Amino acid sequence: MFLLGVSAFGDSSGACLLADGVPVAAAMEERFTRIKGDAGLPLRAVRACLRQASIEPQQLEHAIFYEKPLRRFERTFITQLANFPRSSGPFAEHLFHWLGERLWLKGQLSTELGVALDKILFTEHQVAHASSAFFASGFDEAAVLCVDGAGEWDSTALFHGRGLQLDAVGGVRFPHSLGWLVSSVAQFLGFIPGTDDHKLGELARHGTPKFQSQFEQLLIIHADGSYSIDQNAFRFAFDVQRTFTPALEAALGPRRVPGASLRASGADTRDADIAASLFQRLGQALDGLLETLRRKVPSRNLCLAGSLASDPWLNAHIANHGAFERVFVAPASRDAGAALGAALYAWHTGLGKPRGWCQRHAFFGESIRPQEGESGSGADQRSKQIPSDASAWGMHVADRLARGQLVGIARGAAEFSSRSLGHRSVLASAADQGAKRKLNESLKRREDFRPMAIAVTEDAAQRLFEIPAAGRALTRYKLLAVRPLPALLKRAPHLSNIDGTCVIQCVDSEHDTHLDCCLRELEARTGLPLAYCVSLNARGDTTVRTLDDALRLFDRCKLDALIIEDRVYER
Amino acid sequence: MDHVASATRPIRHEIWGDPWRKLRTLESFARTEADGGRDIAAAATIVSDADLRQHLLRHAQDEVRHAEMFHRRATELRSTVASNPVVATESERMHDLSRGRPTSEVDSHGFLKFGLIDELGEVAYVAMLHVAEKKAAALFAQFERQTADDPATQALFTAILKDEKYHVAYTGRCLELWRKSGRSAEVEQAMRLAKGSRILATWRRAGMRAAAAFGRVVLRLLYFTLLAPFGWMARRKPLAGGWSVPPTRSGAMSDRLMALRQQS
Repeated sequence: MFLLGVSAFGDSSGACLLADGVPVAAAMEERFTRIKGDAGLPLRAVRACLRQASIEPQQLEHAIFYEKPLRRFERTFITQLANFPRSSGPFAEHLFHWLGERLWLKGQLSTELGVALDKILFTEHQVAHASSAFFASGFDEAAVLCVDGAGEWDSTALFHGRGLQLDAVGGVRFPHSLGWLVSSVAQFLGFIPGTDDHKLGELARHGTPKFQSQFEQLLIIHADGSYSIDQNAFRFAFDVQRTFTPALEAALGPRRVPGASLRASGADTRDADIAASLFQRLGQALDGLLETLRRKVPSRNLCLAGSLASDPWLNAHIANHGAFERVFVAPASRDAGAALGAALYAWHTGLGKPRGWCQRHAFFGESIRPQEGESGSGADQRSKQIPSDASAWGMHVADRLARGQLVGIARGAAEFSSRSLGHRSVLASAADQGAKRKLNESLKRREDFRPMAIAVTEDAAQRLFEIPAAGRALTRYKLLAVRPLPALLKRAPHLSNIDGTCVIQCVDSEHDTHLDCCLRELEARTGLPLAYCVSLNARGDTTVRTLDDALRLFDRCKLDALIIEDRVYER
Repeated sequence: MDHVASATRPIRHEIWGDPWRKLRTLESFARTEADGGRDIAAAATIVSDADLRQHLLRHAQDEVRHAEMFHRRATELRSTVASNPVVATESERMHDLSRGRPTSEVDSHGFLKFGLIDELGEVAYVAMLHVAEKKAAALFAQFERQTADDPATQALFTAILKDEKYHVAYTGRCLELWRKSGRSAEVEQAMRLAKGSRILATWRRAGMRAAAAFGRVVLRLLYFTLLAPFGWMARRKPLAGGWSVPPTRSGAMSDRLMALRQQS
């Protein structure tokens, strides 16, 4: 039985196909349209999922959309009215958008997907998020915390997951939203709200929380563990284009104009200080939510979902909190990943099917090959064959990395995750002190304050990094910031960020044997089984999807080699 | 159609003057060119004439390259614009100069969707390409002039314009060869169909734009008349923070999903 989960119109969109309760294909729309954070209806992603499973739309038992459009419309309408008359401009735009497309979603999905109307189902936004974590976690029972921008009404939701059930135990309603608070501050600091939210966590490492008292007024934490947002400083309740008011500038000083120099180092670290203050306050708000959850749900397991669950430093804060022994976060914790949750919820809670699958990897996307209509740009003439066997392949790549090369890798199924995990990645030896700079100059061109994640073998991770026991599962997906142990720091002090942490990806030898072999071989050559591992794209682009995408990137960037499956392209 | 083009010229000026609309228009062009590249490459696998196949393959590669160029320029502009809205609104999408989303009724070349090679055959397809490329060449020449204050974007149009001229030339040559080979009536009919389809598509887009503008005015009027009392009432009770009452569990599922659970 095939179930299709679909998410759209949030911070990103995606599709996921389950075959008898097990994900067999999943994709994010942005990889196809090449628009970062594309939240349009993911028709290309849906087609790719069906193509991957070699099925026709008629074979789908159900297609499940991850939120209820009418309840979402109700929330939009009421929050617009509650902000009368400030919302006059955005009101017309919102209503236009809703009346033009989103209210008729069921019919549109039916027409575009070729699925009968009665096969289209809807679940709630936060329930889809919670399901994407709980039903994938392998926990029989767990407390579930969703910290998100907004769903239908709830922006934060607490659940108790037991077997096939998810019971709501509390929630905070929009416009009081931690996700939107982060997006608004991102916009205040000159970033793109939504798309660039993750940069704030990285920027916060460079600052000190000098604006703590201001954020205590902006984000009010109640004694019962809940919170409120000062609505005088923000406009996101009714206007998603301009999300803050002059009151925020009165509290924090003038906004940073996009493109202006960022104050994150040297004598003036004002922008980083704002980010640090925000994240300190967010940590306090999360403490309140965790305490409430622990009181209401007698479990030692915690599942996290929603847009804030993708921040490695907040996750580290939660893993070190001590309230829970084991923490799980789905690798695609944002809205695109909720497509998986919607499908899993329908399978387990809707259809009552028993659980059996738990997430051990994130490789559900298409393999890399020339797509219909693509030339491959004479790929075979430009490339050389290398061994496909994992051990020899690993040796070949490790040789290159040890020589200081930057190597692009496109191999196997693409990641269904907001981060690249070794299948569409660029690798560089982390033993090489200059590798990070070279990666930035040749390809990524990231802002100076942004760190780079490090891939490490699972066994080496235990002896090189201080990993909290509760957060071990998060290290597979670059979802946890950890501290290098002193021995490693002594050997390679350049590895840690300014705050002494690293974001790592523990490579699982079972699900990524090739990368595991490569890291082991790298250890034999450099003494460290560590490689910088970043997504295979240039700044502002989405991760490559097709052979042509990869070759174009190779042609215009200064990668030393590009390895596509078992073929290598060299300069 | 030229009258429609003249009438929409101020809108085009407005687009290049507004950094965000410029950005979105370039992104929209990138999508259109990428989709066009795929369509044309697929058509190349169907046509019988070897020369035409070569031309179509080159054309497809050009389109993909153009998509890459538009995308790159849009990415450059994204980091420099002075404000940062999240998404294009529905009405803004309709002011884009291409179709915006694939769900619209217009295909990647600005034609109604029935213009597919396997439905119409190669003569109609090449006629469609010819009309579309001719129009695109004229439009890009106009954009080249209008972007004089932005040399990088202007250079982009200059480079693409050269390719567009080649596309017009080879499709025109191909149609001419068919005319000479005794398929004149077929070619003329295909050209009429192509132009007709384009006019209809332009008319529909103009209609959508007008409807969008009118709709916004009506909605704003409604806001300040019918909804005003409700707005004042809603303001009296702010949306409070803190814990909300947990919903009942059935609230998470649609009625249909509930029924499924009961059945199972």
